[in-house]
Amino acid sequence: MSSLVSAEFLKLRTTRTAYGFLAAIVLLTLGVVAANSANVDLSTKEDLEEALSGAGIAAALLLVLGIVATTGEHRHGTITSSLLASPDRRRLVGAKVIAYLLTGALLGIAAVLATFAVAVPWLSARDAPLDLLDLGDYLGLFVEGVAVSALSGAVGVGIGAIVRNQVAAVVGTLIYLFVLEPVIGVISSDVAAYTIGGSQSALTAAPVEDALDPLVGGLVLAAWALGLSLAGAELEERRDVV
Amino acid sequence: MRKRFGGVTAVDGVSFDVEPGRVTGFLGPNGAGKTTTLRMILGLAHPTSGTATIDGRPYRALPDAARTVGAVLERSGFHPGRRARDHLRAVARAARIPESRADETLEIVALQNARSRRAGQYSLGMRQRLALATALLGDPRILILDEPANGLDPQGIRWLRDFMRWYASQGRTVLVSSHVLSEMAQTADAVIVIARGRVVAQGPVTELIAGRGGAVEVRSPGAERLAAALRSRGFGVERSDDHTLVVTGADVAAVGDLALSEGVAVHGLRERSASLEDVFFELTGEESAPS
Repeated sequence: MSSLVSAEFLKLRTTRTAYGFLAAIVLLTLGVVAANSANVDLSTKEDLEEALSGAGIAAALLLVLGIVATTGEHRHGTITSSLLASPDRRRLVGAKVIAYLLTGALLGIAAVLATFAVAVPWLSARDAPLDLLDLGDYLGLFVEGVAVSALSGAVGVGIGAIVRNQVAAVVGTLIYLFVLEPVIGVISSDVAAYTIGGSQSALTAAPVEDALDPLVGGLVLAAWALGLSLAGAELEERRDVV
Repeated sequence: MRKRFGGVTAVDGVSFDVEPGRVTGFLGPNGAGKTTTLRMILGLAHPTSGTATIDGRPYRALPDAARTVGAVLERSGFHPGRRARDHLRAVARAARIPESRADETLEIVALQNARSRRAGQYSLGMRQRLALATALLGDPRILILDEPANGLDPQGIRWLRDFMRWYASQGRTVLVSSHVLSEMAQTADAVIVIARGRVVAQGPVTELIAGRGGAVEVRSPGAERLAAALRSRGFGVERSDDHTLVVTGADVAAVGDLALSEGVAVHGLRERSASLEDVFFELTGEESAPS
């Protein structure tokens, strides 16, 4: 298994895709941080946590990266040599899940640190009440940011294993996240809290109605990652590769 | 093995053995089920019924699949942004093959000077050679190649032919699909011919050809009259051009005697032995393309 995970990392490192995503994550995160920090009204602890939680963009992009990497094997036909090298398809999906959990964690660390590096000096220069936060709060933001990024990468692999067509998987997921989930939220905010986007929000201190506790949100997102990956592995096992 | 896609039967009870130490050609017109059969052998597609085994086991149950079997398949692709050498390293790593094999196989297929180029910049022929390098990573005893000559220039085709012969001469197994018959006639020791999802013939090339009647080719300015006379004697006659007939069922003596009795001049008369191509068209019921 470790050789398969290591091969996934090698695949990831040897195209420009991952570097593009890293650049996009850092740049977009800084953009959002700048917008949040410039926000006039930062008086409560929740406002500050929202301003300092930089992983929302990272989580969304890692979901897409997981999908792009997994469906890319079918798109470019590399799935054939991957499966000839390791015929056990469940193991191959498992290796990808682990690889993108770890990749997500790494990129999540980059996003959170970039956020802190920009937002903390900026907010303190604007005399925001940063003393409302203690070290534990920063640590919490860090852990949540890394967790949401890591789990989102794994969710992406699961979706990519289920829907092999790259365009359909990416577009379908974006429509689900940005059209369908808000509709669910309008119908029932209780249900919406348990969706993929809803559980991500619980970990990014997003101002969402009826948001779950971060720990519960993390467990729900982990359940999504596990469920989708298992379903994807099972489907890959049964389907023909042509 | 049998394979149905929806209501279509792509492979309809195909069964054959492939022996080591020789090149086995897997022949059939496009759409005959060659690629589907090879994909089922390699565990990429699931047969509707039947099994394929390699050394007694299905591909996916082989303890070290990539070191036992190497395969080049149509549609086996590369990420366009990944360098050739990195592609090989990643496959080697997944199969637990030493990554030094990447450089070795690049050298075998003469791509060592292009190893740092991204696969997207490769020509079709180079991609085909990179696919072969991928298949060779595990130094396998068995090579399965699906139309490997596609995209190769004449030089590359000759190189591939020599390579396959050399590989088989070491006691290894080579199974190669093709629709280019002239190529196979020079390369394969044995062939399996499939058409419409069924095996229509298999065996050594020489036996297949020997088992088929040849034909007599006759050139005559009175070809029309001679053709009529031949037909009335029950021989098969085909007109290949204005003055040339191809006669089946008769030998040269019979054709010559008949021409004499008809008072028709003969400008040329020769026996034509069957080629792999003739056998193929006869077996598959496909007409040769008009020339």
